[in-house]
Amino acid sequence: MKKLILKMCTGVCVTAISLSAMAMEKVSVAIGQKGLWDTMVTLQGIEQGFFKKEGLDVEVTWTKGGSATLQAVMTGSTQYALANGTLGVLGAYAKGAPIRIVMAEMTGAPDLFWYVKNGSSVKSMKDTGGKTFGFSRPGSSTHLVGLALADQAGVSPKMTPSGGISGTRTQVMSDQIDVGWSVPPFNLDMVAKGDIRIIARGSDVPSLNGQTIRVNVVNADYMKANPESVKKFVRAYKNTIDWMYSNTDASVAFYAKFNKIDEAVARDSLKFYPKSSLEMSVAGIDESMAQAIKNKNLEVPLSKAQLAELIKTP
Amino acid sequence: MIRIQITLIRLALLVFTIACWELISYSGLFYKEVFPSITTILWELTILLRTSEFYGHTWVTLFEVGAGLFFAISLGGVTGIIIGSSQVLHRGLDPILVALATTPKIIFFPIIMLLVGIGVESKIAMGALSAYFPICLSTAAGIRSVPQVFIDSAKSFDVSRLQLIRFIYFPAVLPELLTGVRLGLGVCIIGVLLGEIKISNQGLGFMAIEYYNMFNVPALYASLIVIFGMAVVINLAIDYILSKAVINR
Amino acid sequence: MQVVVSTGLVSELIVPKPVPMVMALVDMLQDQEVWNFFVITFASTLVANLIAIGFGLSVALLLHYKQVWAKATTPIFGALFAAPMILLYPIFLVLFGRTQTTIIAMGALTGFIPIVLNTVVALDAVPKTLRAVAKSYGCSTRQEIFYVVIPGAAAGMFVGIRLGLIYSLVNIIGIEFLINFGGLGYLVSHMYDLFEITKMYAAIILVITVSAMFYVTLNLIQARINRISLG
Repeated sequence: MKKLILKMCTGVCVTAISLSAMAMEKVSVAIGQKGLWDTMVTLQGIEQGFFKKEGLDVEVTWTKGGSATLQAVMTGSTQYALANGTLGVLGAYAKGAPIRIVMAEMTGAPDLFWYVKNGSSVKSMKDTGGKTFGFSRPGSSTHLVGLALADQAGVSPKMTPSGGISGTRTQVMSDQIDVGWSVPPFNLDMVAKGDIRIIARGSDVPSLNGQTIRVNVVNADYMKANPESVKKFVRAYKNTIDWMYSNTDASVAFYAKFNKIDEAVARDSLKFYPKSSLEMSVAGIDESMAQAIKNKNLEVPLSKAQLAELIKTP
Repeated sequence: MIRIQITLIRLALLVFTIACWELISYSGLFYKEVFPSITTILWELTILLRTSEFYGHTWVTLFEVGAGLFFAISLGGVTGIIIGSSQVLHRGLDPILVALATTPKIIFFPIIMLLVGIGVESKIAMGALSAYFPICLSTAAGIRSVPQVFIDSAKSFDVSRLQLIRFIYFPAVLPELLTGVRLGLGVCIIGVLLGEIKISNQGLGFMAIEYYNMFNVPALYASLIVIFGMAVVINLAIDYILSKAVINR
Repeated sequence: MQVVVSTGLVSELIVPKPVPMVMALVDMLQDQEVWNFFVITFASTLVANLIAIGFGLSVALLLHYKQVWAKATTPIFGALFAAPMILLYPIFLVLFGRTQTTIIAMGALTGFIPIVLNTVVALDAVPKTLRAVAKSYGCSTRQEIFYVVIPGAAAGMFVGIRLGLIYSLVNIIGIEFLINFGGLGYLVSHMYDLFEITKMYAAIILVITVSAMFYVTLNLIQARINRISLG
């Protein structure tokens, strides 16, 4: 008898687990730039069970950013694409891409910083006139913020596309360029060791602080067919951000472990990401459109109706 | 005596290369982190070979190469036979195939991603596309070189097209097909690895570029040593197997 | 293509209609910036190959006159020829940064190996009779190399130079695409980044055409050299 009851209980448990697994909706997400504090929100949410609570089984694919992330959601390879440049999203939508913005991912550019070698004669942005000033590639946020910093300081540095963070570091340290760009947690260890000095940050440009530079998008057809699922995703994402900032010991520890860095460096990184920068409403869309036109992402500004169709933030 | 001399020369070259490397590493000519010492690289190599992640990535790459080569052989062999056995098709398509064969296949990767997405399928497709051309072109050339007397003799026995392909064309073209496979394997490996470098979450190419992005230069060198070693070993193994297959015929 | 896109089988975001693609290609050919990209790629290929030819011919001559060295090193060069050299580009990025130097260095490396391999074979194939005649006239080694050996091996050497040029061009375009920098390869990558799918396809067709024309031109030069060598 006891054996029979035990067998029945086991059967019920297994069935319940299988049913709950079946009840979880599979959702795939492409995220550009692995390992940044803001791009790790989804992983932190998976780790803490926020997505599971909403019945979502999230699978993450990392990309190198740029168009690859958006292409993934446009072709239906993934349902969501996170951390896309706003200008690129506006341009893709204007060309007919089936995407909708569900939330802002980064407002302002507090994460970007520019640095020089320790022995450099450059002490601040004012000294960068005529010096080679690195940014990732033309039209990128590093390019736009770099230009804004130069404008603000009233200098004309030689803007030089230096590629990714790793390549830029080589170029600075081997004196190929004077000023390099980075985002945390990269290169903060060198700042701590005194090998490099930070001379400017994205947050030094007040006009950018109210502009959303990266957004999270969803496939339009998926959103039309699954509006409740999208709301759940957004809710889980928001809850994760709230948790990350009210439990910094745990969130920083996870971030440090993922990036294989010291917790001290990880904690320093957090200083570059005030909670307000991860605010979910899209801001400064007119400024973004003006930049998109200048950058040839857009030919004409989007109409109010188009913006209403594109931006579906809570 | 010659063999001893050859061995000594190779040893001398190895020692010379290592010595030059170490000299550059400690000279300060380059930024110190970009030229780690040989011992640092070898130490990273031992660490790499002890991680389970490495074997996971290796399995993914081998799977993608295997699947890509399978599709390339299937499509390349069949289309090669069709193109080679038709004068009209050969004259019309050969220049186009040669033009495409000399193009760097990585530029087709955006189209592949648009068509099949960003998952493992895109790397398999990249490998298949890279390997397809040498296999198809070699097979077509093999078909063209089948003596007409064989074909005429077979036709005099009223064989069907399928029998002609199976009993005349295929055995005659097998050495060229295998040559095409040898060439195709090399470019298939390159195509898959480049696809993984461009966009992936797994595979040896992804692993190498991750080390680059994290600026773990010794691990980058270590992973490239492994990738090169694997590519050379696979090529030698396939060379050996295929040469035996041709001899045993 | 027109059918699959018009019937909605494939989205126009993935495969554009042929006519707009051809129009985009025509526009590109009239765009000065595209010609600049073309010049960058070609110039990189030429510079890379001048370096490869200089080093390649020197090494090949050395190996030709030191046969035991040739026996020791030819299999190594053969193995390197089959190796995925393009994967070394992250190392060059680390050494030289995202600059034209990286692209030229990679091009020179991939061009160097076929030049060495084919030049050694070509030099070894120069008939001993010709050398004996040169020696009987009292020619120095230098005179023998420049007046007998190199002209005698010209056709075979050009096979190596031709292969070197082709491999260089292919690798240079590939690296430009991968690192988003430089000439024609960068053009394809840039169009993809801007979601200009029609222009991206046009750029790919441009690259295919350039590669094919390059290949055909080199083959014609090879045929001419072969005729001169035999005649």
